[in-house]
Amino acid sequence: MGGAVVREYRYIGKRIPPRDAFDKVTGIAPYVYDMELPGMLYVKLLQSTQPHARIKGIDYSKALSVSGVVAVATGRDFPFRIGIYVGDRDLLAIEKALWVGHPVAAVIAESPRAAEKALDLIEVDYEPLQPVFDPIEAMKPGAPLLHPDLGKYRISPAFKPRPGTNIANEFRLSKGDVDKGFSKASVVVEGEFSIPFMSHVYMETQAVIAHYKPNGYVDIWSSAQSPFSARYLLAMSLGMPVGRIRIHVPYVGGGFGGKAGLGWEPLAVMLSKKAGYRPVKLLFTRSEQMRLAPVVAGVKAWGKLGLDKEGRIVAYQARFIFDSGAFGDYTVNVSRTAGYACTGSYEVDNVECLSYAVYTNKIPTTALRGFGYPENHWVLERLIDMAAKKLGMDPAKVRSINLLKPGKSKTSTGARLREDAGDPQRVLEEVIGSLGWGREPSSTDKPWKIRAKGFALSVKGPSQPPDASSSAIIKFNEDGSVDVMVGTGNFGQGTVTSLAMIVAEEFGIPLDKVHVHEMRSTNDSAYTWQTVGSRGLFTDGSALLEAIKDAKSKIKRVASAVLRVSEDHLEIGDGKVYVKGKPWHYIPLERIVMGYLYENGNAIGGPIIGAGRHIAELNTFLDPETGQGTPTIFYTFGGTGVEVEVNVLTGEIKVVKAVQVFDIGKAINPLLVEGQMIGGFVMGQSRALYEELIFDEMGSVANPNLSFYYVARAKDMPDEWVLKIIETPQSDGPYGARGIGENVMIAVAPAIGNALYHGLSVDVRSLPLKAERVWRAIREQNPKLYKEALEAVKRSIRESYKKLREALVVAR
Amino acid sequence: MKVRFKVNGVEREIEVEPYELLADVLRERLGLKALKKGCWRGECGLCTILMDGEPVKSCIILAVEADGSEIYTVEGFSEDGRPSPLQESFIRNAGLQCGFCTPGFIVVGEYLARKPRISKEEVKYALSGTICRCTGYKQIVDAVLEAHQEYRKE
Amino acid sequence: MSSPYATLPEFEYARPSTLEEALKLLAKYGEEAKVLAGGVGLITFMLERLVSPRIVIDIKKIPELRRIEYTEGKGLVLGAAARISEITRYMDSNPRVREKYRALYEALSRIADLQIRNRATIGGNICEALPFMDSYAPLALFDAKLRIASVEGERETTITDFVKGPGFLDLAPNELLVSIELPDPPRESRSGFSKIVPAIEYSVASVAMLVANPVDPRSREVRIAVSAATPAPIRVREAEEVFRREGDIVDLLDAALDRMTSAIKELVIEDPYASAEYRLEMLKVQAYILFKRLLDSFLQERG
Ligand SMILES: Cc1cc2nc3c(=O)[nH]c(=O)nc-3n(C[C@H](O)[C@H](O)[C@H](O)COP(=O)(O)OP(=O)(O)OC[C@H]3O[C@@H](n4cnc5c(N)ncnc54)[C@H](O)[C@@H]3O)c2cc1C
Ligand code: FES
Ligand code: FES
Repeated sequence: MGGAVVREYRYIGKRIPPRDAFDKVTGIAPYVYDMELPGMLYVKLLQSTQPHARIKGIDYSKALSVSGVVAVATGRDFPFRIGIYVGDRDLLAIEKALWVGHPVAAVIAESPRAAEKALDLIEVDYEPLQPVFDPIEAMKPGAPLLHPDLGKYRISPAFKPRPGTNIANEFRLSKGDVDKGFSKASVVVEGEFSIPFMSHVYMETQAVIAHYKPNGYVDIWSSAQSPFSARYLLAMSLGMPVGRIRIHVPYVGGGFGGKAGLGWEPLAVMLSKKAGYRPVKLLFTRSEQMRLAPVVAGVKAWGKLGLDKEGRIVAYQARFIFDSGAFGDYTVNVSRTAGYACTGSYEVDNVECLSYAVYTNKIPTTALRGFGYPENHWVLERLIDMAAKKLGMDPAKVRSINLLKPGKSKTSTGARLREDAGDPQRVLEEVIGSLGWGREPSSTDKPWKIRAKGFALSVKGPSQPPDASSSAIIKFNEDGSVDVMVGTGNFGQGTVTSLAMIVAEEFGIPLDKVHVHEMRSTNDSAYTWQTVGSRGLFTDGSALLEAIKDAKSKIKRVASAVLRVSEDHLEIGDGKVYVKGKPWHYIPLERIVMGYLYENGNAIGGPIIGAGRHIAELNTFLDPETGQGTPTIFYTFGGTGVEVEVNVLTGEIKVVKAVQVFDIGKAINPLLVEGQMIGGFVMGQSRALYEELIFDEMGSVANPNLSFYYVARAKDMPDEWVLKIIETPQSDGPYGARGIGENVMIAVAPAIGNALYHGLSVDVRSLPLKAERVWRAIREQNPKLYKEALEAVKRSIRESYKKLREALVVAR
Repeated sequence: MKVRFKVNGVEREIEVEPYELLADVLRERLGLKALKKGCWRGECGLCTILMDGEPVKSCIILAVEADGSEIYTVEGFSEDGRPSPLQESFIRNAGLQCGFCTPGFIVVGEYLARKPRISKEEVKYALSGTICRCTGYKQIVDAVLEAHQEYRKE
Repeated sequence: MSSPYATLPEFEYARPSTLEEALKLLAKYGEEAKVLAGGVGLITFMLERLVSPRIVIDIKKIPELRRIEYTEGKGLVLGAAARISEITRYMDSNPRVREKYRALYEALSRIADLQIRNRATIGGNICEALPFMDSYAPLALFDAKLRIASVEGERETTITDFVKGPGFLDLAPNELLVSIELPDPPRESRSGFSKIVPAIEYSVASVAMLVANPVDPRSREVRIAVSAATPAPIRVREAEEVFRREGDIVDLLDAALDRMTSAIKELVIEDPYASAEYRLEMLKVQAYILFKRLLDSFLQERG
């Protein structure tokens, strides 16, 4: 370690189980799904049966006569639009229904049963309009328009919709001169790639309870990732003062980006008002979740990559068309991010990447863990392997030559990469080392099953506005324990545990003396912009460290008077404040944090509260023409390797070995970091191999359930795991740490795609790599392999038969 | 209709409609909120309970069908608020993240870990009727196997 | 399909304790009644409002319908309401029975998951009438007889006559499937089951196969049944017949499987989850691999 001083920590770096695990294994952890309020009503939404239609009338008189029904609302009740970046979304369809599933009416009733009965009695008169389902068709002039008023919607500064078209956002990254770049290339590869729509499948479906009170205050309980931005957007769109809205968030049953931004809170709030100021609960079944709540956009992409004869990338060009569905939501920003970060972990001087988010008459879409990076990596990381093969060079070598160099290189957006951004070269070495890249994969005992290896690298930082900020407050209790108030959400990523560990470490107190309340509320938790983009530990952790510093200096001020030494000579640790070098000269924290009492009854100080904050100081907007600027506070480098077993005859893929390597600066809690690496891998595997929302001819989701939309189960997980954490500390991260939550799934699909490419010489560019798709690719691209496998089976049948006959002869 | 059953060791008798689902009755009438629903139709396993000693999915069982049976939910495994050895093992191994699926896994896990013999491969398959979207399963499988060792010692 | 509903439609509930009582209720309510066995299918159908019966008749408490019995020479009798897990458990404790009906065992032990197998019944699986029900191919393979009863009397049928197509059974509203009888398979036979479940819960192509006396051209027998790829299960007799020709069994295999392909080609399902081309090829590929596995299992026992 080159003489560097390694500090011994009491908690940091230790494998500590999640703080909330007890609540979760015993089932006492509350989720919004579990909550009930006195007098609460239940909401049920009527879904459009038309993909694109004018709503001529809605007759709900029969529904109102069902016993237990309190009210029915339609789009006419809420004639305004909301949205995080593009204000395109209605609460209930206004005038037009935009997809099969679009909520057109809401029933509010005393019980779910009454609401469901009433739902069946509502009659809607539709005038069908021409729908458009394909994003490329939707971009063409003359295509049916979903949002003719796009030009009048409220738009956030970083976004560029094109009014009069279905383009919800257009982004362009342009650097150098691609034509000139390609003219220097020895090999050029290009290809079209696609990714289907998918569902987040967080296990707790959307759940929100809202109570609009007659005094003008609103209380909301929401299964949400971003209560503060939801509150702000809600206040703006409903014209209410921010401070009158309180959003409470208990445990959240998964989010993965799908519960970020503004969810169903506005509708619930308005329905509460409509129901005579009674609390209402909106809870989706899985089928509703997969037909009307935002899912993840499908992408059609194209990429072109040029290498010179040394393997250096001389130009890269890409185009991404995100099928946003009926609303833009986060997808406008996901598409923008895919564009500005299109060159991944590599330094490329000549780049042109275009990215669009396009409206179609399908279910709306939003963010997913990875936020545009899984999409752009699926293109780039596959193209690199294709180009390397064409050049006759090891793809690991090609990557090594082109990797970004911290302190030297400029990223795609032209910002210089900080010196302590991580060690991408080492990531690459660890991935190929652990995978045994270059060594033949082991063979199987079945001649029709082939093993193959592949890998890909990844990089990602949070995609947040430049002024995204966080804060933290800590306050002491009489027993010297600490209450931590942070805004970061708790959906199991482990941030809360890590934050508690930081507090325990800094004051040298036992971990169980640090309390983080399970319920976060906009009124009594410290502000954080959103819990997204793997930013929680970095930003809220930084704010927390500042709050700790603040509290420490307040403690020292009091202690300095008591111990009669200057503050500079005081130290805090082991639950004490003591004189440096004379630890026996101390005051226990519990005697000072609520005020110090002298023997004669005099008292000084008072309850200690520490406050801290964090804002990304040197970030910028991106240039609207070229996409250049500084968009992020850190980049985490990583890599994924896989060994897969492919059944050549059926196309089925089994992942036998997974390698995950990430340079996260510092693993505050390796146990939980590994949990992210494993969980993210399997989610990435699930997306790569199985997941796809299927649309019928009405653009309606045909598989809104977990039988026909398959997500990975325990039996699908890899047999062997290699998990490696590299720690190249980043000076402004808490203890040097960077985020990891999303990075873990980005490179999985390209790694598997590359394994097929190397091991079977088949090139599949569409996800998911479902058995039939792989089977078809093998038959079309490598028919010899298929034929040989079938022959091998037949041969082995003959061998078995021969043996059997011999055995019989012997027996006789 | 009257339903009489034993829930977490306690005899209960309640009046239900024939069309009420067992999961709803356990959650809403008996307050056993640890039980969750993630799919409403037998696919995700979050609503798993032990019924006469065997794991079943309570979202696709009528409450009236449970008449005369013995039922265990997560609430029945911890004694005096102390987690069971399996629950401890889930904590140690970090076999959970968001925790929404955890009650479902604990119920199947208790059933598996208490078997006289069980292999890793069997555990993987037996857990495949329950979905966890966060953990990637490895730490859950490890937790069950580790608890199995402990139960065997008992 | 799927629906937004979280509650069931309203219905009455009856729990007869004898077969006679159950049949009387069925006779009385006819189309307005629905039989409930494990409920795995019926309750989801009701949640989706595909059916809304006036009365649900729970047959689980009828002892006769829960039978699982094997008698040497007569075969295996399964009550319609015997649970999948009970059947596989019975077979696990009677390994000889398990090996006799290996294809059925392999199919049943891989239905859905642990929890569902603890509820679902063999009769419910048969009467759910969706192409991918895993009991179909093995029942066709073993020439299972289905006993159907009503107040008017009893009749016997086969799985291929009983299951007509998706959602379509040869079953009158007043009739009940009572039991399934599997005669003893040929002596010295081996059987197995194979399915493809490509990123969905259900099979898109299933094959059950039985081989007896493979090296003896006179006494050998090969049976093949398919399901999931076709709207209803099929016993592919055209392919089986090829093995009655002269020659070694391994020399006839290609011709038999080609015959299978041509015999069912027109019937194969095409949907977003698998093309007809893939399903058809998967039947063939699985048949080859299964055949090899069966030959090896003869060997293993000798070795
Ligand atoms: C998540 C999931 C996964 C699944 N995976 C598989 C799988 O891999 N393979 C597979 O084969 N199946 C699978 N299934 C389907 C499941 O196996 C069937 O739903 C189940 O076998 C039906 O049996 P049951 O006893 O629950 O039937 P029930 O739901 O009680 O009945 C089903 C139907 O049959 C009728 N019926 C039942 N018994 C009789 C009788 N004796 N006489 C006349 N009519 C009767 C009922 O009225 C109803 O219409 C899956 C189901 C789910 C929910
Ligand atoms: S809610 Fe019962 S299995 Fe999903
Ligand atoms: S821990 Fe979140 S679903 Fe399992």
